[in-house]
Amino acid sequence: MVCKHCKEKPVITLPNSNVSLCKKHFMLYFQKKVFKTIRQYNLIDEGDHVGVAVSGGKDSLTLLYLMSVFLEKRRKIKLTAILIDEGIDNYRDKTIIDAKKWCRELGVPLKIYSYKNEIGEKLDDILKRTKERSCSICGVFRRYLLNKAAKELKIDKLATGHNLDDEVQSIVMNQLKNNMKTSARLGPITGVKYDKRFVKRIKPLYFLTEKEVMTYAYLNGLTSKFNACPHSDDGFRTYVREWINSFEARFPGSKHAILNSFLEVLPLLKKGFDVGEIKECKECGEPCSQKVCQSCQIIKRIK
Amino acid sequence: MKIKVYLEEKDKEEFVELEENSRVRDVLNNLNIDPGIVIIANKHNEVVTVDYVLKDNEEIKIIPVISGG
Repeated sequence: MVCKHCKEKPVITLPNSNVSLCKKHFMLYFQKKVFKTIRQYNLIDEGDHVGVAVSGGKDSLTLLYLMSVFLEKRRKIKLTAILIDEGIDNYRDKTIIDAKKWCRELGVPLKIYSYKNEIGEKLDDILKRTKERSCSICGVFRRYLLNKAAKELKIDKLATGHNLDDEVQSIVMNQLKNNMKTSARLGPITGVKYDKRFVKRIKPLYFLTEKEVMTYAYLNGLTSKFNACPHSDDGFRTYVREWINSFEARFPGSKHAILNSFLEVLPLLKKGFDVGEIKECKECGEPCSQKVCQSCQIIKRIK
Repeated sequence: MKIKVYLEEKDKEEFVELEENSRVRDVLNNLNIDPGIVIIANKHNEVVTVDYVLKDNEEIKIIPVISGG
C-alpha cells in the first residue's frame, strides 16, 4: 500500500476509510482538519485571547503546536498556555518539563497554577488521607482552576486537547449512566448557554482520533516515553474505552458513527437542557448550579 | 525469521518468530495487540503501517496511543 497522493511509504491508514497517507500528506490532512473545525464551528474570533490548557502530554502539545501555526497568519489573536500542576510526583513533574520546553520553543507564555498554591495542598498529600476517588477530585479541581486561571488572565476561549476518542467515550458513558444533561454540555464548544463567568471551552482536535493525534505528535517529536499517572482510577472510563476500541476493531467506523449521530441531536439536547439560572458559589464566588460549588464541597470534605 | 519488538507501555523487549515476508500486522496478531490502539515505529524511528513488510532481525517499537493520564 502507498500514499494516496504521492505513492510514498505510508505512515497511517486512516481509521474511517481505507486511505493511506505518507508523512507529508498526513501532516497536511491533520492540520487541515483542525483548522476546518476551528472555522466550521467558529471556535476562535479575530482578536481573541486564546488559552491552551497544556499538560505536557501528546494531545495538549499537539494542540499548542497547531494553535501557534494557526496564529502565524492571524496576528490579532493572542495565545497563552495554562498548566495545572496537581502535585503528582514522578508524573506531572516530568510532563511539566516537556510543556515548558515546547512553550519556550514556540514562544508561547506559560502560566502555571498549582494545587499547592490554589488549594493549599498537593494531590499526592490530599490522597494520603482521603478515600475519595482521585480522578473525581482531580477532574473537579482542574476544571475549577482552569476557569479561574482563564478569567484572571482575561482569556476569551480556552482550548483543550480533547480528541474524538475522548468525546465518544464521554457520550457513551453519559448514555450508560442516563446522564444526558452532562452530554448536552459536550461538543466542539462546551457549555449549554453563554455566561461570562464560564470561559468558553473549545476542542480543535474534536474530529481526530487518538491514533491520529499520537501519529502526528510522534512525527513532530511532541511525545515522551509512556508515562502513566500513578493515581489513575477511572475504572468506568477505562472499561468503556476498551469496549469501544474492541467494537471499532470489529466494526470499523463505529467511533465516527457515534460522534456524528451525537452531533445531529446535540442542538436538541442543548435546547432541552437549558441549565436555568447560574448561581455563584457562596464560598468562592465561582459560577455553579448549587449554593456551594463542587470544588468547595470537596475542599470541605477533605479538610 | 526473528523480530525484536520493544513494547513501550511495558518497557520490555520480546522476540517474535514469524514466517518470511511477514508484516507488522502479523506481529500484532501474534502478540494479540489491537492495531487501532498503537502506532509502530521501525529502528530508524519511521512510523509504519500494519502492511509494512519486515525483514529478518528487524526491530520495531510498539507505542500505545492512549495517554497515561
